[in-house]
Amino acid sequence: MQSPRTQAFVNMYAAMGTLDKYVELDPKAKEIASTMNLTIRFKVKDGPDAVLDFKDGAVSIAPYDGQKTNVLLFCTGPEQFNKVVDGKAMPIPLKGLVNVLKFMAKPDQPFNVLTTNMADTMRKTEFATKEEKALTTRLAFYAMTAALAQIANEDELGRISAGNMADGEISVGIKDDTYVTLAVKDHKITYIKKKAENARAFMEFADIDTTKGLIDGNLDAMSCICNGGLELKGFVPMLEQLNKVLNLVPKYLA
Amino acid sequence: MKTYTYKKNQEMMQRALKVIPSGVYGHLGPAEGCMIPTSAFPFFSSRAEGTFFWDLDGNRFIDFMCAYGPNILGYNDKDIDNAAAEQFKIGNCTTVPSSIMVEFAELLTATVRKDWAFFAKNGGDVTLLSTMVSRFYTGKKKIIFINGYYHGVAPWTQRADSPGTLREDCVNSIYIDFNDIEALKKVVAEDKDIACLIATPYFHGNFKDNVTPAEGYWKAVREICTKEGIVLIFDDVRCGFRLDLQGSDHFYGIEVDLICFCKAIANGYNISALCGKEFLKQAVGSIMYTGSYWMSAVPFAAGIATINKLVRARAPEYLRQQGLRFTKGLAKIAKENKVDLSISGEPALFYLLIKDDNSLILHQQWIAECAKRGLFLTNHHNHFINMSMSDEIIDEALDIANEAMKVMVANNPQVYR
Repeated sequence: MQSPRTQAFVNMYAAMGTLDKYVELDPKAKEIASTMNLTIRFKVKDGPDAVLDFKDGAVSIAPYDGQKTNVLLFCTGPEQFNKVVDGKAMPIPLKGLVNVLKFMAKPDQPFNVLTTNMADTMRKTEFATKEEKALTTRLAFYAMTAALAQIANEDELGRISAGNMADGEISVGIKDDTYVTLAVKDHKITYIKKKAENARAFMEFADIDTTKGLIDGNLDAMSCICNGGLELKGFVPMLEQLNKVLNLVPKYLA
Repeated sequence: MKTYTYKKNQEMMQRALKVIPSGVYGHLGPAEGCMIPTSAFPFFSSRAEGTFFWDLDGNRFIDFMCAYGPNILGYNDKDIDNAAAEQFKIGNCTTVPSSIMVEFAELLTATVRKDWAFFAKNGGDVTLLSTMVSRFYTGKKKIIFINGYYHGVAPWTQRADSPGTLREDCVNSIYIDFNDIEALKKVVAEDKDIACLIATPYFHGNFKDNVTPAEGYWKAVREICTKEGIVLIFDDVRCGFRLDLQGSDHFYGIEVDLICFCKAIANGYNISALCGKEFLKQAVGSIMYTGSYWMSAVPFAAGIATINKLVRARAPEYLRQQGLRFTKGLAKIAKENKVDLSISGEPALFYLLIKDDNSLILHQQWIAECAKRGLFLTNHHNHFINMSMSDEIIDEALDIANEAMKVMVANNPQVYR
């Protein structure tokens, strides 16, 4: 069963958490982001508490660690935050109302345009060019891999899988294209958006098409292993557990 | 040495993927079988004989996996196949079973020193039955497992995070470590609703060194189970007949209440058996448990021929001897190549692991180089010796293992300076 709290962490760090790569990979997104120089804290009671930092067209997200922010948005619980992300509710602005009114109060304001465009890009199924498909796939890859970490740390079944994982880094990547690292320590996973330097286990998709097919559910992982579309190597017990978490991702990333 | 290519195997896999989930699913397939990289391994066999199989491209392999255990005498053993063929001529799957079932039950129970035998097809059929019998007989719910266990693929054998398994399937499962008597004492002190303890005769989990029982371990487990009214079950599906023809409980000096056999019982003919002590016979008979092919006669004929041949050949002694010949040879090769190769488990089912990195990658590379030269090992699972492995075949396998290890070492100068 889907847990609202896990969903909130996925929404925070996998959905909104992919904004950094969106503005990095899409010049139009960067242009929109560059109109906002501010820090937004989303504080969710009994859920994630994180800061989105927009600076000179770049975006980053990190757990709140006491720093000053321009905007503080409060949600009464994970359910409310999840509705906010779905566009069905509003958070409570506790600080920075001027900035809220300027950047994120209406659908055509920069923050909302940016998040809506990113969601639309990730959901795209028809592409005019190879580059469009690659952008969609890379963003979906980042969201999926970020979700893996959140689900392993928060979901009841995900925690069972993480509980059986040994310490070490898992490299997950699209061959010669995009790589991330899932660092396991004491059965908790930290998500790092760069290639692992000392991985213990490797999961590598052969190309953009295979990655897209697997993320969309049009290809199955076992078949891809058989035909070379997905290579697993290294400390396989970590990958066995990661695969179980991967099975949970569609519940949280629609 | 010439290295193999797999064009026809790969073409067949493309056909398979269209009509069979995962192409080849389960432990014989590239995914669960940890064929890393898949390009180094064959996917389909074309024929087999003795300790060899040939793939679709005509490549010959010395097979140390023995179909993951069933091949104990050698593929296509003439004595076994003739016995099966003779039975096939007179009847196999019939409305009432052939009396050969009784003959096999008499032979099997006498061989493994148990009072009755119940037949099915796969190991999982009888491991499940063993827990059902235990629960029915004791009126208790819980099952003690040893961490790293494998007793089949049904939901009761899985963890709650496995696809297709429910949390409810696992609520009566208790997990302890192998060789940890204190942990067993603790759980039986805390929980009086334990029906059974199911375990393999020694720890032969994957991806890590296998571990044989500590001195006195099984005797202590036996005593605790008897005192607490817990049924003690050996899953001897993997080890059965390779350590001791009287059962692996005899090998380790105890007597269990229930013992599960499958793989080597009929040299590849499909049959499994749950054997047990008299006090559980009525409980087994009270459980409705059956299958369409469980009483087919041909596997019984094969089973009789297999057991008789194993007894005549004093199989466990030979399997141990050949296992030692191979593993001692591997240890020498590893030392010469300055590779830290760990060899564990019982010699007839030895386990290999290169420990020069913590990722298994060096080990996976070595195993892949072996496969490309015709020596079929796996990088994750224990291996199996069979009665067809002559000294000459083992020496040939060692030559391949040596060359493959040299290639792996040369490909990793950062590790092996």
